[in-house]
Amino acid sequence: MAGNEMVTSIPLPEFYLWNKLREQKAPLSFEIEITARCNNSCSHCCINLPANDRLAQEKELSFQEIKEIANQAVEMGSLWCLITGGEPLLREDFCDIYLYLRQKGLLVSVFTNATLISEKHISLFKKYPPRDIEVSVYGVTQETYERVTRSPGSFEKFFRGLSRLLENNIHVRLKAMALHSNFEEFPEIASFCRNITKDYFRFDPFLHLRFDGDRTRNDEIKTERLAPEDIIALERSDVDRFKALKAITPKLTTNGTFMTNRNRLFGCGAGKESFSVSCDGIFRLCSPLWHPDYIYDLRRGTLGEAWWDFVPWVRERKSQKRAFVEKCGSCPLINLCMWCPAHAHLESGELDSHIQYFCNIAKARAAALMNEQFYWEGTNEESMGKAQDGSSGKRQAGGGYCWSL
Amino acid sequence: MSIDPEIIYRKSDTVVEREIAGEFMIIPGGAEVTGDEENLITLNSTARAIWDKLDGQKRLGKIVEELASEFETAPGKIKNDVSELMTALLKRNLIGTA
Repeated sequence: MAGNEMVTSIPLPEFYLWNKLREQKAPLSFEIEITARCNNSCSHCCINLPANDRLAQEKELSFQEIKEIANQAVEMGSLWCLITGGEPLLREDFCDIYLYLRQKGLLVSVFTNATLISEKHISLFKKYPPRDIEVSVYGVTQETYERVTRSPGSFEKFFRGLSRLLENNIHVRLKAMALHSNFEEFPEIASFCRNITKDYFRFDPFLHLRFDGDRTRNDEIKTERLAPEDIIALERSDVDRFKALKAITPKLTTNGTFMTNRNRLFGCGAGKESFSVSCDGIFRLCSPLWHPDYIYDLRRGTLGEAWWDFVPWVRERKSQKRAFVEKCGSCPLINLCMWCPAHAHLESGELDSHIQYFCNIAKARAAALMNEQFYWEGTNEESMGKAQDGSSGKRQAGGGYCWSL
Repeated sequence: MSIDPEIIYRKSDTVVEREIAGEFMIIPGGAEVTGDEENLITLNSTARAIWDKLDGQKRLGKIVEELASEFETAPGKIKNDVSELMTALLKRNLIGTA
Protein backbone atom coordinates (compact mmCIF):
# COMPACT_ATOMS: atom_id res chain seq x y z
CA MET A 1 0.00 0.00 0.00
CA ALA A 2 1.39 3.27 -0.96
CA GLY A 3 2.65 6.51 -0.57
CA ASN A 4 1.72 10.01 -1.37
CA GLU A 5 -0.81 12.32 0.32
CA MET A 6 -3.78 10.21 1.43
CA VAL A 7 -6.37 12.97 1.23
CA THR A 8 -6.04 15.83 -1.23
CA SER A 9 -8.37 18.79 -1.26
CA ILE A 10 -8.43 20.50 -4.64
CA PRO A 11 -9.83 23.99 -5.21
CA LEU A 12 -12.15 23.95 -8.22
CA PRO A 13 -10.04 26.19 -10.48
CA GLU A 14 -7.07 23.89 -9.93
CA PHE A 15 -9.08 20.74 -10.54
CA TYR A 16 -6.73 18.66 -12.67
CA LEU A 17 -9.49 16.66 -14.32
CA TRP A 18 -11.02 19.61 -16.18
CA ASN A 19 -8.97 18.84 -19.28
CA LYS A 20 -9.76 15.15 -19.09
CA LEU A 21 -13.46 15.94 -18.80
CA ARG A 22 -13.18 18.32 -21.74
CA GLU A 23 -11.47 15.65 -23.82
CA GLN A 24 -14.36 13.34 -23.01
CA LYS A 25 -16.74 16.14 -24.10
CA ALA A 26 -18.61 15.82 -20.82
CA PRO A 27 -21.21 18.45 -19.92
CA LEU A 28 -19.36 19.99 -16.98
CA SER A 29 -22.22 22.21 -15.96
CA PHE A 30 -25.85 22.90 -16.67
CA GLU A 31 -28.49 25.38 -15.74
CA ILE A 32 -32.09 24.54 -15.09
CA GLU A 33 -34.85 27.13 -15.14
CA ILE A 34 -37.27 25.54 -12.70
CA THR A 35 -39.95 28.14 -13.39
CA ALA A 36 -40.59 30.93 -15.88
CA ARG A 37 -42.71 32.73 -13.28
CA CYS A 38 -41.54 35.57 -11.09
CA ASN A 39 -42.96 37.63 -8.24
CA ASN A 40 -41.41 40.75 -9.79
CA SER A 41 -42.23 42.15 -13.20
CA CYS A 42 -38.94 43.71 -14.22
CA SER A 43 -39.10 45.74 -17.38
CA HIS A 44 -35.81 44.39 -18.72
CA CYS A 45 -36.30 40.70 -17.99
CA CYS A 46 -36.34 37.97 -20.65
CA ILE A 47 -38.22 35.40 -18.55
CA ASN A 48 -40.73 36.53 -15.96
CA LEU A 49 -44.31 35.40 -16.38
CA PRO A 50 -46.69 36.40 -13.57
CA ALA A 51 -46.28 34.45 -10.34
CA ASN A 52 -49.88 33.25 -10.51
CA ASP A 53 -49.77 32.15 -14.16
CA ARG A 54 -51.53 28.80 -13.81
CA LEU A 55 -50.79 27.65 -17.36
CA ALA A 56 -47.08 28.33 -16.95
CA GLN A 57 -47.11 26.46 -13.65
CA GLU A 58 -48.80 23.43 -15.18
CA LYS A 59 -46.09 23.20 -17.85
CA GLU A 60 -43.25 23.17 -15.33
CA LEU A 61 -41.11 20.09 -14.95
CA SER A 62 -42.15 18.04 -11.95
CA PHE A 63 -39.68 17.28 -9.18
CA GLN A 64 -39.48 13.73 -10.53
CA GLU A 65 -38.63 14.97 -14.04
CA ILE A 66 -35.96 17.29 -12.65
CA LYS A 67 -34.50 14.37 -10.70
CA GLU A 68 -34.31 12.28 -13.88
CA ILE A 69 -32.51 15.06 -15.78
CA ALA A 70 -30.09 15.57 -12.88
CA ASN A 71 -29.42 11.82 -12.66
CA GLN A 72 -28.52 11.71 -16.34
CA ALA A 73 -26.35 14.83 -16.09
CA VAL A 74 -24.41 13.45 -13.14
CA GLU A 75 -23.98 10.15 -14.93
CA MET A 76 -22.47 12.09 -17.85
CA GLY A 77 -20.00 13.90 -15.59
CA SER A 78 -21.67 17.19 -14.64
CA LEU A 79 -20.18 18.84 -11.61
CA TRP A 80 -21.99 22.14 -11.31
CA CYS A 81 -25.62 23.12 -11.62
CA LEU A 82 -27.28 26.51 -11.65
CA ILE A 83 -30.88 26.72 -10.46
CA THR A 84 -32.52 29.72 -12.04
CA GLY A 85 -35.87 30.98 -13.28
CA GLY A 86 -37.95 33.13 -13.32
CA GLU A 87 -37.68 33.30 -9.59
CA PRO A 88 -36.79 29.74 -8.49
CA LEU A 89 -37.91 30.27 -4.89
CA LEU A 90 -41.47 30.62 -6.12
CA ARG A 91 -41.66 26.85 -6.44
CA GLU A 92 -42.95 25.21 -3.30
CA ASP A 93 -40.62 22.27 -3.87
CA PHE A 94 -37.53 24.46 -4.31
CA CYS A 95 -35.93 23.03 -1.15
CA ASP A 96 -36.51 19.45 -2.32
CA ILE A 97 -35.00 20.21 -5.71
CA TYR A 98 -31.99 21.99 -4.20
CA LEU A 99 -31.35 19.24 -1.70
CA TYR A 100 -31.63 16.52 -4.32
CA LEU A 101 -29.09 18.22 -6.58
CA ARG A 102 -26.70 18.70 -3.67
CA GLN A 103 -27.08 15.08 -2.62
CA LYS A 104 -26.27 13.97 -6.14
CA GLY A 105 -22.83 15.48 -5.63
CA LEU A 106 -23.41 18.61 -7.67
CA LEU A 107 -22.05 22.01 -6.70
CA VAL A 108 -25.15 24.17 -6.82
CA SER A 109 -25.59 27.88 -7.50
CA VAL A 110 -28.90 29.73 -7.30
CA PHE A 111 -29.97 32.92 -9.05
CA THR A 112 -32.61 34.78 -7.06
CA ASN A 113 -33.98 38.24 -6.38
CA ALA A 114 -33.84 37.33 -2.64
CA THR A 115 -37.32 38.66 -1.93
CA LEU A 116 -38.63 35.22 -0.93
CA ILE A 117 -35.69 34.12 1.23
CA SER A 118 -37.15 32.68 4.44
CA GLU A 119 -35.77 30.98 7.55
CA LYS A 120 -36.48 27.66 5.83
CA HIS A 121 -34.08 28.57 3.00
CA ILE A 122 -31.47 29.85 5.43
CA SER A 123 -31.55 26.56 7.38
CA LEU A 124 -31.18 24.61 4.15
CA PHE A 125 -28.30 26.73 2.85
CA LYS A 126 -26.53 26.56 6.21
CA LYS A 127 -26.76 22.79 6.37
CA TYR A 128 -26.05 22.22 2.69
CA PRO A 129 -24.10 25.27 1.51
CA PRO A 130 -24.55 26.40 -2.07
CA ARG A 131 -21.55 27.19 -4.21
CA ASP A 132 -23.09 30.65 -4.30
CA ILE A 133 -26.38 32.50 -4.24
CA GLU A 134 -26.33 35.21 -6.88
CA VAL A 135 -28.66 38.04 -5.99
CA SER A 136 -29.77 40.69 -8.45
CA VAL A 137 -29.61 44.29 -7.25
CA TYR A 138 -31.87 46.57 -9.27
CA GLY A 139 -31.48 49.68 -7.15
CA VAL A 140 -30.46 50.81 -3.70
CA THR A 141 -33.43 53.07 -3.10
CA GLN A 142 -37.02 51.95 -3.01
CA GLU A 143 -37.89 54.33 -5.82
CA THR A 144 -35.32 52.98 -8.27
CA TYR A 145 -35.63 49.35 -7.24
CA GLU A 146 -39.39 49.29 -7.61
CA ARG A 147 -39.25 51.33 -10.83
CA VAL A 148 -37.42 48.31 -12.27
CA THR A 149 -39.35 45.50 -10.54
CA ARG A 150 -42.77 47.19 -10.79
CA SER A 151 -43.67 45.31 -7.66
CA PRO A 152 -44.67 47.46 -4.67
CA GLY A 153 -42.99 46.38 -1.45
CA SER A 154 -40.31 44.40 -3.29
CA PHE A 155 -37.43 46.62 -2.13
CA GLU A 156 -38.11 45.93 1.52
CA LYS A 157 -38.41 42.18 0.86
CA PHE A 158 -35.21 42.19 -1.18
CA PHE A 159 -33.32 43.99 1.54
CA ARG A 160 -34.64 41.65 4.24
CA GLY A 161 -33.77 38.55 2.17
CA LEU A 162 -30.29 39.75 1.31
CA SER A 163 -29.63 40.70 4.94
CA ARG A 164 -30.72 37.23 6.07
CA LEU A 165 -28.29 35.61 3.67
CA LEU A 166 -25.41 37.84 4.68
CA GLU A 167 -26.08 37.59 8.43
CA ASN A 168 -25.93 33.82 8.14
CA ASN A 169 -22.70 33.85 6.14
CA ILE A 170 -24.26 32.25 3.10
CA HIS A 171 -21.98 32.72 0.11
CA VAL A 172 -23.61 35.57 -1.79
CA ARG A 173 -22.55 37.11 -5.07
CA LEU A 174 -24.19 40.25 -6.35
CA LYS A 175 -24.98 41.32 -9.85
CA ALA A 176 -26.64 44.39 -11.27
CA MET A 177 -28.22 44.84 -14.65
CA ALA A 178 -27.49 48.33 -15.94
CA LEU A 179 -30.67 49.83 -17.32
CA HIS A 180 -32.15 53.09 -18.36
CA SER A 181 -34.34 52.87 -15.22
CA ASN A 182 -31.42 52.63 -12.79
CA PHE A 183 -28.61 54.24 -14.76
CA GLU A 184 -28.54 57.45 -12.72
CA GLU A 185 -28.23 55.41 -9.53
CA PHE A 186 -25.71 52.95 -10.90
CA PRO A 187 -22.65 54.39 -9.14
CA GLU A 188 -24.48 53.95 -5.82
CA ILE A 189 -25.59 50.43 -6.80
CA ALA A 190 -22.01 49.48 -7.65
CA SER A 191 -20.71 50.99 -4.45
CA PHE A 192 -23.38 49.20 -2.37
CA CYS A 193 -22.49 45.87 -3.96
CA ARG A 194 -18.76 46.30 -3.56
CA ASN A 195 -19.15 47.30 0.07
CA ILE A 196 -21.14 44.28 1.16
CA THR A 197 -19.52 41.46 -0.74
CA LYS A 198 -15.99 40.21 -0.31
CA ASP A 199 -16.48 38.40 -3.56
CA TYR A 200 -16.67 39.91 -7.01
CA PHE A 201 -19.64 41.93 -8.10
CA ARG A 202 -20.63 41.87 -11.72
CA PHE A 203 -22.74 44.20 -13.76
CA ASP A 204 -24.28 43.59 -17.12
CA PRO A 205 -25.55 46.24 -19.53
CA PHE A 206 -26.32 43.74 -22.30
CA LEU A 207 -30.03 43.08 -22.35
CA HIS A 208 -31.31 40.41 -24.67
CA LEU A 209 -34.88 39.94 -25.72
CA ARG A 210 -37.47 37.59 -24.28
CA PHE A 211 -37.49 33.85 -24.76
CA ASP A 212 -41.27 33.89 -25.34
CA GLY A 213 -40.99 36.61 -28.01
CA ASP A 214 -43.66 38.78 -26.31
CA ARG A 215 -43.61 41.93 -28.46
CA THR A 216 -44.91 44.34 -25.86
CA ARG A 217 -42.39 43.14 -23.30
CA ASN A 218 -39.62 43.18 -25.91
CA ASP A 219 -40.38 46.84 -26.55
CA GLU A 220 -39.96 47.47 -22.83
CA ILE A 221 -36.57 45.72 -22.86
CA LYS A 222 -35.45 47.84 -25.82
CA THR A 223 -36.47 50.95 -23.92
CA GLU A 224 -34.27 49.85 -21.01
CA ARG A 225 -31.18 49.37 -23.17
CA LEU A 226 -28.36 51.80 -22.65
CA ALA A 227 -26.76 53.72 -25.44
CA PRO A 228 -23.28 52.51 -26.47
CA GLU A 229 -21.55 55.53 -24.92
CA ASP A 230 -23.27 54.85 -21.59
CA ILE A 231 -22.13 51.25 -21.69
CA ILE A 232 -18.57 52.39 -22.35
CA ALA A 233 -18.78 54.88 -19.49
CA LEU A 234 -19.90 52.10 -17.17
CA GLU A 235 -17.13 49.80 -18.31
CA ARG A 236 -14.58 52.55 -17.80
CA SER A 237 -15.91 53.19 -14.30
CA ASP A 238 -14.81 49.72 -13.25
CA VAL A 239 -11.11 50.42 -13.56
CA ASP A 240 -9.87 46.88 -12.87
CA ARG A 241 -12.32 45.26 -15.24
CA PHE A 242 -11.61 47.79 -17.95
CA LYS A 243 -7.86 47.30 -17.58
CA ALA A 244 -8.23 43.52 -17.76
CA LEU A 245 -10.44 43.79 -20.82
CA LYS A 246 -8.00 46.16 -22.45
CA ALA A 247 -5.13 43.77 -21.83
CA ILE A 248 -6.83 40.89 -23.59
CA THR A 249 -8.37 42.93 -26.40
CA PRO A 250 -5.55 42.23 -28.88
CA LYS A 251 -6.11 38.52 -28.36
CA LEU A 252 -9.88 38.88 -28.57
CA THR A 253 -9.67 40.72 -31.85
CA THR A 254 -7.14 38.53 -33.64
CA ASN A 255 -8.79 35.17 -33.16
CA GLY A 256 -8.38 33.35 -36.46
CA THR A 257 -11.20 30.87 -36.00
CA PHE A 258 -13.94 33.00 -37.41
CA MET A 259 -11.75 34.02 -40.32
CA THR A 260 -11.37 30.43 -41.50
CA ASN A 261 -14.93 29.29 -40.71
CA ARG A 262 -16.79 32.39 -41.77
CA ASN A 263 -20.09 30.69 -42.44
CA ARG A 264 -20.10 28.64 -39.26
CA LEU A 265 -22.81 29.86 -36.90
CA PHE A 266 -21.64 28.50 -33.58
CA GLY A 267 -18.06 29.59 -33.15
CA CYS A 268 -18.91 30.21 -29.50
CA GLY A 269 -18.84 27.84 -26.55
CA ALA A 270 -22.55 26.94 -26.69
CA GLY A 271 -23.00 23.25 -26.02
CA LYS A 272 -19.27 22.59 -25.61
CA GLU A 273 -19.20 22.14 -21.84
CA SER A 274 -22.63 23.12 -20.67
CA PHE A 275 -26.30 23.14 -21.53
CA SER A 276 -29.52 24.72 -20.41
CA VAL A 277 -32.95 23.25 -19.64
CA SER A 278 -36.13 25.31 -19.61
CA CYS A 279 -38.87 24.96 -17.02
CA ASP A 280 -40.81 22.73 -19.42
CA GLY A 281 -37.91 20.47 -20.28
CA ILE A 282 -36.58 22.09 -23.44
CA PHE A 283 -32.85 21.44 -23.85
CA ARG A 284 -30.77 24.18 -25.45
CA LEU A 285 -27.06 24.56 -26.06
CA CYS A 286 -27.25 27.81 -24.15
CA SER A 287 -29.98 29.67 -22.37
CA PRO A 288 -31.03 32.18 -25.11
CA LEU A 289 -30.87 29.71 -28.03
CA TRP A 290 -34.57 29.31 -28.70
CA HIS A 291 -34.62 28.81 -32.48
CA PRO A 292 -37.24 26.05 -32.98
CA ASP A 293 -34.85 23.95 -35.10
CA TYR A 294 -32.19 23.99 -32.39
CA ILE A 295 -34.05 22.91 -29.30
CA TYR A 296 -34.63 19.39 -27.98
CA ASP A 297 -37.56 18.28 -25.86
CA LEU A 298 -36.32 16.20 -22.93
CA ARG A 299 -39.87 15.00 -22.35
CA ARG A 300 -39.55 13.10 -25.65
CA GLY A 301 -35.94 12.00 -25.50
CA THR A 302 -32.99 11.54 -23.21
CA LEU A 303 -30.29 13.94 -22.15
CA GLY A 304 -27.75 11.57 -23.66
CA GLU A 305 -29.42 11.81 -27.08
CA ALA A 306 -29.56 15.59 -26.78
CA TRP A 307 -25.92 15.88 -25.76
CA TRP A 308 -24.21 13.25 -27.87
CA ASP A 309 -26.31 13.41 -31.05
CA PHE A 310 -28.17 16.70 -31.23
CA VAL A 311 -25.49 19.12 -29.97
CA PRO A 312 -22.77 18.15 -32.49
CA TRP A 313 -25.32 18.48 -35.31
CA VAL A 314 -26.29 21.98 -34.15
CA ARG A 315 -22.71 23.11 -33.73
CA GLU A 316 -21.94 22.22 -37.34
CA ARG A 317 -24.74 24.42 -38.74
CA LYS A 318 -23.62 27.01 -41.24
CA SER A 319 -25.12 30.17 -42.62
CA GLN A 320 -26.05 30.28 -46.28
CA LYS A 321 -26.12 34.07 -46.30
CA ARG A 322 -23.34 35.88 -48.10
CA ALA A 323 -24.06 38.98 -46.03
CA PHE A 324 -23.35 37.03 -42.84
CA VAL A 325 -20.07 35.66 -44.19
CA GLU A 326 -18.96 39.12 -45.20
CA LYS A 327 -20.13 40.90 -42.06
CA CYS A 328 -20.54 39.19 -38.67
CA GLY A 329 -18.96 35.93 -39.84
CA SER A 330 -15.65 37.63 -40.51
CA CYS A 331 -15.79 40.55 -38.12
CA PRO A 332 -12.66 40.95 -36.00
CA LEU A 333 -14.75 42.57 -33.26
CA ILE A 334 -17.03 39.58 -32.80
CA ASN A 335 -15.59 38.83 -29.36
CA LEU A 336 -16.43 42.34 -28.20
CA CYS A 337 -19.92 42.10 -29.60
CA MET A 338 -23.19 41.02 -28.04
CA TRP A 339 -23.89 39.23 -31.31
CA CYS A 340 -24.30 35.50 -31.27
CA PRO A 341 -26.71 33.32 -33.25
CA ALA A 342 -29.02 33.00 -30.24
CA HIS A 343 -29.23 36.75 -29.59
CA ALA A 344 -29.58 37.48 -33.30
CA HIS A 345 -32.52 35.07 -33.45
CA LEU A 346 -34.22 36.72 -30.46
CA GLU A 347 -33.81 40.10 -32.18
CA SER A 348 -34.76 39.21 -35.73
CA GLY A 349 -36.07 35.65 -35.96
CA GLU A 350 -32.90 34.65 -37.83
CA LEU A 351 -29.68 33.21 -36.47
CA ASP A 352 -27.45 34.96 -38.96
CA SER A 353 -28.79 38.51 -39.00
CA HIS A 354 -26.64 41.55 -38.45
CA ILE A 355 -27.98 43.57 -35.49
CA GLN A 356 -27.09 47.23 -35.71
CA TYR A 357 -27.38 47.96 -31.98
CA PHE A 358 -24.92 45.16 -31.16
CA CYS A 359 -22.59 46.37 -33.89
CA ASN A 360 -22.61 49.90 -32.53
CA ILE A 361 -21.75 48.68 -29.04
CA ALA A 362 -18.93 46.49 -30.36
CA LYS A 363 -17.44 49.38 -32.30
CA ALA A 364 -17.75 51.70 -29.33
CA ARG A 365 -16.03 49.14 -27.10
CA ALA A 366 -13.29 48.58 -29.63
CA ALA A 367 -12.73 52.30 -29.93
CA ALA A 368 -12.49 52.66 -26.17
CA LEU A 369 -10.25 49.65 -25.73
CA MET A 370 -8.01 50.06 -28.75
CA ASN A 371 -7.98 53.84 -29.15
CA GLU A 372 -9.04 53.43 -32.74
CA GLN A 373 -11.87 54.75 -34.82
CA PHE A 374 -14.82 52.69 -35.93
CA TYR A 375 -17.73 54.06 -37.84
CA TRP A 376 -21.14 53.74 -36.30
CA GLU A 377 -23.12 53.07 -39.44
CA GLY A 378 -26.75 53.06 -38.45
CA THR A 379 -29.08 54.17 -35.76
CA ASN A 380 -30.07 52.35 -32.57
CA GLU A 381 -33.75 53.11 -33.00
CA GLU A 382 -35.02 49.62 -33.70
CA SER A 383 -33.07 47.92 -30.95
CA MET A 384 -33.42 50.56 -28.29
CA GLY A 385 -36.95 51.86 -28.57
CA LYS A 386 -38.15 55.02 -26.94
CA ALA A 387 -37.01 55.83 -23.46
CA GLN A 388 -39.48 56.41 -20.68
CA ASP A 389 -38.82 60.11 -20.75
CA GLY A 390 -39.91 60.19 -24.39
CA SER A 391 -36.41 60.74 -25.74
CA SER A 392 -34.80 58.41 -28.26
CA GLY A 393 -33.14 56.41 -25.45
CA LYS A 394 -29.69 57.30 -26.66
CA ARG A 395 -27.54 60.30 -26.02
CA GLN A 396 -26.44 60.95 -29.60
CA ALA A 397 -28.28 60.69 -32.84
CA GLY A 398 -27.12 57.86 -35.05
CA GLY A 399 -26.19 57.99 -38.69
CA GLY A 400 -22.54 58.15 -39.55
CA TYR A 401 -21.36 58.72 -36.01
CA CYS A 402 -17.65 58.24 -35.65
CA TRP A 403 -16.24 56.76 -32.47
CA SER A 404 -12.95 58.12 -31.34
CA LEU A 405 -12.56 57.82 -27.60
CA MET B 1 0.65 6.34 16.07
CA SER B 2 -2.01 4.24 17.77
CA ILE B 3 -5.65 3.66 16.98
CA ASP B 4 -8.49 2.33 19.07
CA PRO B 5 -9.28 -1.04 17.42
CA GLU B 6 -12.76 -1.06 18.93
CA ILE B 7 -13.93 2.24 17.49
CA ILE B 8 -16.39 2.22 14.60
CA TYR B 9 -16.50 5.08 12.11
CA ARG B 10 -19.14 5.95 9.55
CA LYS B 11 -18.98 8.27 6.58
CA SER B 12 -20.62 11.66 7.08
CA ASP B 13 -24.26 11.63 5.96
CA THR B 14 -23.78 14.54 3.58
CA VAL B 15 -20.70 13.27 1.80
CA VAL B 16 -21.24 12.20 -1.79
CA GLU B 17 -18.93 9.77 -3.54
CA ARG B 18 -18.53 10.24 -7.27
CA GLU B 19 -16.47 8.76 -10.06
CA ILE B 20 -15.40 11.68 -12.25
CA ALA B 21 -13.33 11.15 -15.39
CA GLY B 22 -12.41 7.75 -14.06
CA GLU B 23 -11.26 9.04 -10.68
CA PHE B 24 -12.85 8.64 -7.30
CA MET B 25 -13.91 11.91 -5.66
CA ILE B 26 -15.58 12.95 -2.47
CA ILE B 27 -17.90 15.93 -2.82
CA PRO B 28 -18.43 17.69 0.50
CA GLY B 29 -22.19 17.88 0.78
CA GLY B 30 -22.83 19.67 4.05
CA ALA B 31 -21.64 22.53 6.18
CA GLU B 32 -20.07 20.21 8.72
CA VAL B 33 -17.33 19.41 6.22
CA THR B 34 -14.89 22.09 7.21
CA GLY B 35 -12.62 24.09 4.98
CA ASP B 36 -13.48 22.28 1.78
CA GLU B 37 -16.80 23.78 0.75
CA GLU B 38 -15.51 24.85 -2.66
CA ASN B 39 -13.13 21.96 -3.08
CA LEU B 40 -13.21 18.46 -4.40
CA ILE B 41 -11.48 15.79 -2.37
CA THR B 42 -9.51 12.91 -3.78
CA LEU B 43 -8.13 9.88 -1.96
CA ASN B 44 -5.06 7.95 -3.04
CA SER B 45 -5.40 4.23 -3.58
CA THR B 46 -4.46 3.38 0.01
CA ALA B 47 -6.99 5.80 1.41
CA ARG B 48 -9.64 4.58 -1.01
CA ALA B 49 -9.18 0.97 0.13
CA ILE B 50 -9.65 2.01 3.75
CA TRP B 51 -12.53 4.40 2.95
CA ASP B 52 -14.47 1.63 1.22
CA LYS B 53 -14.47 -0.36 4.43
CA LEU B 54 -15.97 2.41 6.56
CA ASP B 55 -19.46 0.98 6.57
CA GLY B 56 -20.48 2.17 10.03
CA GLN B 57 -20.42 -1.40 11.35
CA LYS B 58 -16.85 -2.67 11.25
CA ARG B 59 -14.43 -1.98 14.10
CA LEU B 60 -11.15 -0.38 13.02
CA GLY B 61 -9.35 -3.48 14.28
CA LYS B 62 -11.38 -5.62 11.89
CA ILE B 63 -10.67 -3.25 9.01
CA VAL B 64 -6.92 -3.47 9.70
CA GLU B 65 -7.11 -7.26 9.75
CA GLU B 66 -8.99 -7.40 6.45
CA LEU B 67 -6.64 -4.98 4.69
CA ALA B 68 -3.52 -6.75 6.00
CA SER B 69 -4.87 -9.98 4.56
CA GLU B 70 -6.02 -8.50 1.23
CA PHE B 71 -2.79 -6.58 0.58
CA GLU B 72 -0.45 -9.10 2.25
CA THR B 73 1.06 -6.29 4.28
CA ALA B 74 2.14 -6.21 7.92
CA PRO B 75 -0.71 -5.06 10.22
CA GLY B 76 1.62 -2.47 11.77
CA LYS B 77 2.00 -0.65 8.46
CA ILE B 78 -1.75 -0.84 7.82
CA LYS B 79 -2.45 0.54 11.30
CA ASN B 80 -0.29 3.58 10.55
CA ASP B 81 -2.12 4.22 7.28
CA VAL B 82 -5.52 3.82 8.92
CA SER B 83 -4.54 6.12 11.73
CA GLU B 84 -3.24 8.77 9.34
CA LEU B 85 -6.38 8.61 7.24
CA MET B 86 -8.78 8.72 10.21
CA THR B 87 -6.99 11.83 11.47
CA ALA B 88 -7.30 13.52 8.06
CA LEU B 89 -10.95 12.56 7.63
CA LEU B 90 -11.92 13.55 11.17
CA LYS B 91 -10.21 16.92 10.72
CA ARG B 92 -12.52 17.59 7.78
CA ASN B 93 -15.57 16.01 9.45
CA LEU B 94 -15.84 13.58 6.57
CA ILE B 95 -16.42 10.78 9.09
CA GLY B 96 -17.89 10.44 12.56
CA THR B 97 -18.23 7.71 15.13
CA ALA B 98 -21.04 5.29 14.41
